[in-house]
Amino acid sequence: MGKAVSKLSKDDLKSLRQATYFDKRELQQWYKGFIRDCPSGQLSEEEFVKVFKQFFPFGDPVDYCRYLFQVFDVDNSNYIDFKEFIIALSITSRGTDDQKLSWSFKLYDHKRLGKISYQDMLCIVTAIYKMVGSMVALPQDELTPELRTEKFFKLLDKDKDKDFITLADFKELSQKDPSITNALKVYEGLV
Amino acid sequence: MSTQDIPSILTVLNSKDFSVFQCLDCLKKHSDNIGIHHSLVQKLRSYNYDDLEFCIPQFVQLLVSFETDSMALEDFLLEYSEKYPHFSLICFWYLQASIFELRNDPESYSFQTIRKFINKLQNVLFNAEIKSSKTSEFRENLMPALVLCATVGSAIASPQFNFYASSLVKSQGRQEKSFVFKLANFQKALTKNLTMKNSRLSTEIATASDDEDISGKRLVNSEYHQRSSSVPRIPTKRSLTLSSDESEAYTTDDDDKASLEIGRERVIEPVNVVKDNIKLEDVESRLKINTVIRSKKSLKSLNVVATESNHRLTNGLNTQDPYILNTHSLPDLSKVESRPYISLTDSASSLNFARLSFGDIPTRSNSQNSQNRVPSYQQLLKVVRVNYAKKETEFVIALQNISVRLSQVPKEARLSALRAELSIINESILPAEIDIPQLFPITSNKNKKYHKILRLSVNEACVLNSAERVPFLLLIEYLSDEMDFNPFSEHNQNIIAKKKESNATNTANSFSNLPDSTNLSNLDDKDDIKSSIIQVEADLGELPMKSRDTPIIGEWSSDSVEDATLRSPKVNNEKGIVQIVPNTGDVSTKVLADQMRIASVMLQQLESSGQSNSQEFISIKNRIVQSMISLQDQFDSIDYNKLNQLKGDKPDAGQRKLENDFKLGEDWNVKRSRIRKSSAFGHFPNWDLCSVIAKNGDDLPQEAFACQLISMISNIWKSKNIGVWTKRMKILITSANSGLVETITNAISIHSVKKSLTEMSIANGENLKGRIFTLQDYFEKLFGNPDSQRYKQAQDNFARSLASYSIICYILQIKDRHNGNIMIDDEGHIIHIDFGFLLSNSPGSVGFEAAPFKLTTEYLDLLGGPQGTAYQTFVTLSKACFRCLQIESESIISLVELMQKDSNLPCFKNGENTSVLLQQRFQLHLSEEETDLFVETALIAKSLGSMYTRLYDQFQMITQGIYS
Repeated sequence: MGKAVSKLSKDDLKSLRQATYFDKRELQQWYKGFIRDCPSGQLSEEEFVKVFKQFFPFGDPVDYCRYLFQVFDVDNSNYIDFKEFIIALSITSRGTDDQKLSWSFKLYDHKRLGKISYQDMLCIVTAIYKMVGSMVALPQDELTPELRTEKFFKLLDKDKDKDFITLADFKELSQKDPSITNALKVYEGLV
Repeated sequence: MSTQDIPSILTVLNSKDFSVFQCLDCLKKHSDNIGIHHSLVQKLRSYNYDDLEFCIPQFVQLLVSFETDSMALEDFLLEYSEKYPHFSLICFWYLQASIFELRNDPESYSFQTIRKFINKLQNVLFNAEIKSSKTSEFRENLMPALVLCATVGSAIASPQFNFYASSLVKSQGRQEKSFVFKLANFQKALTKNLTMKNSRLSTEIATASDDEDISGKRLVNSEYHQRSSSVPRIPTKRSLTLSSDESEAYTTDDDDKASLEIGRERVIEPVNVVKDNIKLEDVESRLKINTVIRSKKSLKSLNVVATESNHRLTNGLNTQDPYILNTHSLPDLSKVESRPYISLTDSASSLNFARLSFGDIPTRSNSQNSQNRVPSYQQLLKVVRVNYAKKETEFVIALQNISVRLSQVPKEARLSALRAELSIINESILPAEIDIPQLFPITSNKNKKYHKILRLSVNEACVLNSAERVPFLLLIEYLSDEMDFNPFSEHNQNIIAKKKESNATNTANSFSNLPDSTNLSNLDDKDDIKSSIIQVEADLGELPMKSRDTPIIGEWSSDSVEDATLRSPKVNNEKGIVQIVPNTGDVSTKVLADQMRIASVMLQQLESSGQSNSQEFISIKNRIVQSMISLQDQFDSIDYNKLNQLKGDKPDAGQRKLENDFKLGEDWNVKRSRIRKSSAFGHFPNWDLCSVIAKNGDDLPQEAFACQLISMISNIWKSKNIGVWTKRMKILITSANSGLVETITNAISIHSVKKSLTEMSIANGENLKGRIFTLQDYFEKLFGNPDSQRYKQAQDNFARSLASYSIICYILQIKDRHNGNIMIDDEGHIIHIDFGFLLSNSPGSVGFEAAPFKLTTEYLDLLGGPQGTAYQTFVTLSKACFRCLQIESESIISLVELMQKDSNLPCFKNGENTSVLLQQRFQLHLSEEETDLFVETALIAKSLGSMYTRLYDQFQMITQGIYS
């Protein structure tokens, strides 16, 4: 897509209608909003980080943004374009739980191996903790990123030193911990 | 703001001493960060309600003058407005005042923000329908959408985090951003203190240059401010963006970025041209629809219908979101002349029309509101609340209109006109489920009941002075702690039942099966309610263009008087006048009031007939006035002879007036019980009386602000147990130039004290030399022998109140302190009133009143001289007061800083310097001992010796006849 134009072309519309849960009107609407908030039509990682600094001023979102940006930036162009954005939004706001989990699995699987080691997981959890800062009260056994990550492995009966977590484990995890499912459903019906 | 501040904000935020004023200050400073803004607003919710109600002017100011992308404050205000009836009304009135101030700048950020917010608030206040889908709105906002994605990603790792972030995401997702980019405060920036702003700007750039966050915000803002082709092109794009948002300056460390952004603007411009051309065509045709208050859902559905048809016309160019259209209604206000907010009858018909023509298209709101559904508690509650809000605004507007009407009547006929008007209010509105927020005494019990107004004491009301504006004194009978908003109470059930009835009939009459709520005007069964709502709307609608002083003559002739009055302006023959002369026997109040209005209209027409000098004119005028005066005491239901009996049988009315004048404190209770005895409602155990002054004039917002500052200072002293006394006056702003002011019922101005005592003694032949009486004379008269306990107590009261007002007058630079503006109450306390001059303005060019505060030798005498105990108390307390304020100065200064931004109030005439000078007066560099010395010499001694004060009093005596 690259350049910003006033509205989506017929072809773009058609393909996005297939790729997302949005209808024609919604797509045009979101496109307008996207261009308004990001006139170039291409969101760089730097700008991406600034958005998160607006929302999480008490922490440091840079690390988390780096991982998340890669999930958005499917074509590795170093920019998020509208298509990438709207597909992610479609999954995260209107997708099924499985779709949401698969999407977020990509975030944790930042090495793109199809499985997540303790260290991989720890990176992401640490980045999230860093972003949130002290704004959220955490239970005792999740106070540090290490404790939280270990808890995953324990919940799944896995050895953190040699086992990996797969997408199937992710799904199991969300079933074992209802707060995860709830967190995934927070925006249901909102967008 | 610099980045290293942020953790410290968090620490402060979580500390126990973080006051609501500090929170306001932080909100002011951190409007540029959504996360911080939300946390601060969240903190607001932890304060007690009264503190928050106190700060409504500040919230409105934050909303108006501090641009932010955060929705937090708006959400908070709406939430509290939904919860608390008084909160919503006070907000509403302040916002109306605010938008009136901005009427010449309708394209500004401030105007746009308030306009949108008022629409939302009106929905809360006057629309009985509950928006069921309110929380599920998420507009096309990129930032919250990205964060939404991020939180789904983090759901596995930290579900708790999601619950924290989701409120932010939801709130920001609702944001209604304009697609047309306007320049905020553009005109203001040009016309007001340009140089001052620039210098401030440069310092802000300097402090912000090392800040990472600024650039992030800058990105957002630069995008926000891109202008579409509908806004006149102005060549200096860069500097404009700067002036539109001073805090978000471009920093120079990032040049390539800036040029990139400009490049982007170019790309986007042609797009906007296309978009706007299309939209502007539609705006006019849709304006009616768009400006009506009603649920968003029905708006949406309607516009979808409209868009659909339009779609074909514009060759399928764009399926437009209704909200975009909505944002466009404003720039084109000029096309609807002075009425952007269409009266409800109009809007209702336009709605009907729209539904009629597209009747076959089902709308969401229809399906949501089937008439048969059992209403929920929330819905019933809303009906009761809306009933309250409508009647309350109707009442307040009725009072406002009286002032305007009175000013058009000759002075001598004003009292009778006032009484006529008040009796009309009694007939048409009262008793009603209303009270007066802030002015009525706060209810003592915890289960939050509200007072209920019964009637106005017509014969006790009086016009206060003969200036161009006509304030008047009102005595309001009410039942204390009488009503609540419980929809299941018997009384409220009746209200709800009435509503239903009227809805049913209305629905039957309308073309289609309209859900009641889309049709606001039909909510009430009474016609006058309807008209009052229209007036609310019209009031707002007048704002952008209409001059305030357009006479409302038409309204005189409304309703029943219509035919009689306007038919013939030449009604000036004998018959016409004779008819008004009362047949006192059995005329009803209503008839009398109507006659009065007829008379007033005739007077006005005479005035405008252009023969004001002819003999005939004068004699006619006199006759009308005479007949009005003869009517003035006949509006109440009580027997006038009986009233006289109740008043007591003092023979000489003039004498009685004087006596009453300076025994006002005692008189209040006498008056209260007298009115109670004569009132039809007097037998209710919770009957009570409240006295307020209805005022017109644009100085009221400043008065209210002064009272707020004084209350705040007084609260500081109280919390530190300083032991001084201050009257916390309350003023309720009901529009930009009207309001209700608390009456001090047990006090009298020093001027009146002196005048009455002096004149009385002269009349009695006791004072042949014409000596002017002193305060000490008055105290002795009131409290007895100076050695008595009573006198000493009064003297002590005087000292304690003098200390506090002295420090207040110095700190706030309250001027115009002649004796007409200073009162003494029945316990000896001194009370300052009338705050037309404070902080940076002072009366005229006459440089009197150079003393820090007013401390005359007369005061000194009253305090028992320099060695007297009372004087010592005064000095000690003054010092304590001052030191205490030094410690708390920050919150006072920051409040002034907050309010002075872009303010039109005369007290901020020095602009940003106002708060700087205020800070200097606190003498924060002095040690404790030095402070004491400062108070003793630089303040007290200087004031005491000041000939300026004496000069000012003499000046007032000579020019205004105010006793010194």
